[in-house]
Amino acid sequence: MAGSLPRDPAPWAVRRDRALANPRLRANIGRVARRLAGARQQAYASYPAGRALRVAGRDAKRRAVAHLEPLLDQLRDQLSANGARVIFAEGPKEVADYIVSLAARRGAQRVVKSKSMLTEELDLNRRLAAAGLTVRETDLGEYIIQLLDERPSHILAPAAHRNRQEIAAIFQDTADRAGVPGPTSDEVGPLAAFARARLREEFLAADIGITGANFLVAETGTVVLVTNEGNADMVASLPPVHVVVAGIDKVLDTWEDLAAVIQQPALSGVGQRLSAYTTLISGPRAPGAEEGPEELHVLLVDNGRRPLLGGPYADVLTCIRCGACYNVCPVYRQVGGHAYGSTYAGPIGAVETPLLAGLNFLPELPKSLCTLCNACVDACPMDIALPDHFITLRRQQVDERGEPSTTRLTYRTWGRLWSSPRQYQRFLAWARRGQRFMMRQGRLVRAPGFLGGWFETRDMPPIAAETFHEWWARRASSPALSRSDEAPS
Amino acid sequence: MAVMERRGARVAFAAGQTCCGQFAYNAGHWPEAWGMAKNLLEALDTLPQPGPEAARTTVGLSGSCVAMVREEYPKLLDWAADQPGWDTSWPVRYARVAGRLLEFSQWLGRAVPAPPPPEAASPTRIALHTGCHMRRVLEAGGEAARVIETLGLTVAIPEDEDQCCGFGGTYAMTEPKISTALADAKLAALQATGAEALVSCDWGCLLHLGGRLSRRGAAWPVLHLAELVDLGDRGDLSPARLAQVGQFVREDP
Ligand code: SF4
Repeated sequence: MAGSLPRDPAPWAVRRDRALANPRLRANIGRVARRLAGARQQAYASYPAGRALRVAGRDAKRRAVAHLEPLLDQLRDQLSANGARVIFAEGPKEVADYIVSLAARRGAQRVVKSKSMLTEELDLNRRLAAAGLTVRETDLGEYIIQLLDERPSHILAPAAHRNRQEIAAIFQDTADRAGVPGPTSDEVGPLAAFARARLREEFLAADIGITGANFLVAETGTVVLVTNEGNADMVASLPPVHVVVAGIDKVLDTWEDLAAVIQQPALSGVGQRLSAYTTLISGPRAPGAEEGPEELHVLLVDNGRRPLLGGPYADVLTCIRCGACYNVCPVYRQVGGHAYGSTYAGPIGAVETPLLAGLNFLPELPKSLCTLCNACVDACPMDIALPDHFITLRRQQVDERGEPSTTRLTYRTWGRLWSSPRQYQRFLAWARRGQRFMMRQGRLVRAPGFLGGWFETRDMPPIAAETFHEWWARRASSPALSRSDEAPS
Repeated sequence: MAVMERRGARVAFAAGQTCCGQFAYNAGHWPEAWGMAKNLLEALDTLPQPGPEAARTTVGLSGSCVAMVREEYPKLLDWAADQPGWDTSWPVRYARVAGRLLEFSQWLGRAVPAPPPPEAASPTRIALHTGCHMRRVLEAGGEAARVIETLGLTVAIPEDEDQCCGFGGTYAMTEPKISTALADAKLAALQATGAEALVSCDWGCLLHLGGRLSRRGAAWPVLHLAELVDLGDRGDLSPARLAQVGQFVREDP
């Protein structure tokens, strides 16, 4: 079944123009993306073993996706044996309903969360708030955008579109409303200190902690979380109930497989050898133990993933959400994450969103957000065939949805005219006649249909008085002309 | 042609060729792309080539087109094999054509060097733009810089050189705003090198960047590598000459 993802109601042209008209957003996004892309390159350059490791990690993920169902069963059995409750959930509604009734049973009111793209995908915060729960994000970036009531613009750095000054302003505003002192300056240290102080109270007061999972190990029944802030540790251990919300694609077969891939989120994402915190959770607090939650619930979510298994797009499910493809993507650097209109952005977002939610969902994504420069596939540690997927998704869209009939006709005609030498000559003759009406100062400045898009911002030279083809033909028929120096360029 | 002949090549031209079809393939219009691909394969395969088979090379003047034939045609052939009108001879013909196909700077890098230019070249700075498919699909990005240096010129590599110029085939027409934002960023980085002229091995990128400069009323010479090498061979690399040859609307010879 197709999944369900949040969607910005604004149409593509509005989202795009909004982003392009915001120089500060573009500068912020561009700066973060370049910094992370550079860090990744340096990390690999200084770590030769990283390359072999990457391949081993990719293979581990691919093996898991190829045998997903038995691994999920094994994971459920292991986690249950460890004392966790495991639930297979179809989509957003099932996940929210489960947590809401869990909260009702526990008399729980306050929820803290660590960063999770899946819960963004499920629009979980909004659903829990609608049911009367108070939800607090505790990842610094997520905390910022929650205060701003925004969605993440980058998969690793959710507030990448905001700079320090903007963040200081929203913190001050929050402090004023709570009647507490604000951050002492807009330097990183004071900003983090302010958030830390505010969040500490939230951790201690929380009834339920919700985290995602970076990996799930079937062999041992282990939930693995990697963060650089340590907030997931607190979310998973301080509140009496811990709920893990994880995509079914997060499962790995063995502990060895985990070892192969565990460095990748940090290495490809931020250019560190390992994230600062790696949290391993195998079950709730053991009887007699002093730490850990009383209850552990693990929700394994489909939301449009199963239909991809075994198909040409299955490699998309090996994505580890490292963001490397975002950072190198030229289009992403121009428009940032919000323009994509849903949870995931960058190359993987433009490919995966319609795969999860259906080809009619944000159909502009495969078409309008990729120049096919291939930077993403070079950067992706999992070798996901992103450019191929862009092209085949476009083909599927052409085949299945049909395009505007004028576009179709343009391609048909264009294709026919350029598919044989004789037709090509006819094309040249027509184009020469037609171009006279589209010139200014010796340059082409207009064209019909979608071809006109070119001329909104660029010129084109007219067709040469004698093309290379024509020159060649003339030369072949006249021996006197066989000096190549006269070739037109 | 002149450049190739100076390096001892006997040149033939497959007059039946039109386009490799990449623009349609990338946009998802594969029947049209396959029509153009068949025409190109036919033209290149039936080309009467001089010299023994082993010495035959087909040279393409745009990295992206060569990448299309070398790396994407196999996928197009796979698809076409399930379409009506399929002919099992296509894979054989394809293998023959693709096996001898090189991009121009790759060929230049391997060709015998031309006779040295009559007078010493001036140490002009040339900003080099390497197209994305040239860089990542063909993995042949370094050759052009070496070729330019052997002409006695300085190669300037812009900041963020691996970022796309925004051409992307019909993407330039369907998403002109993003495409242009990318062109402007690329041009800013290229011009910040202080180079006399822009050179690339991809006509697509050049048309897009040159077209943008032209619309902005900026006269910065834009040349294909072949044009630059031709001037170099003649020992005629003065800035004035670069400006003349690198005009957006080429003068007829
Ligand atoms: S597609 Fe690849 S590069 Fe992009 S986020 Fe996923 S794993 Fe990272």
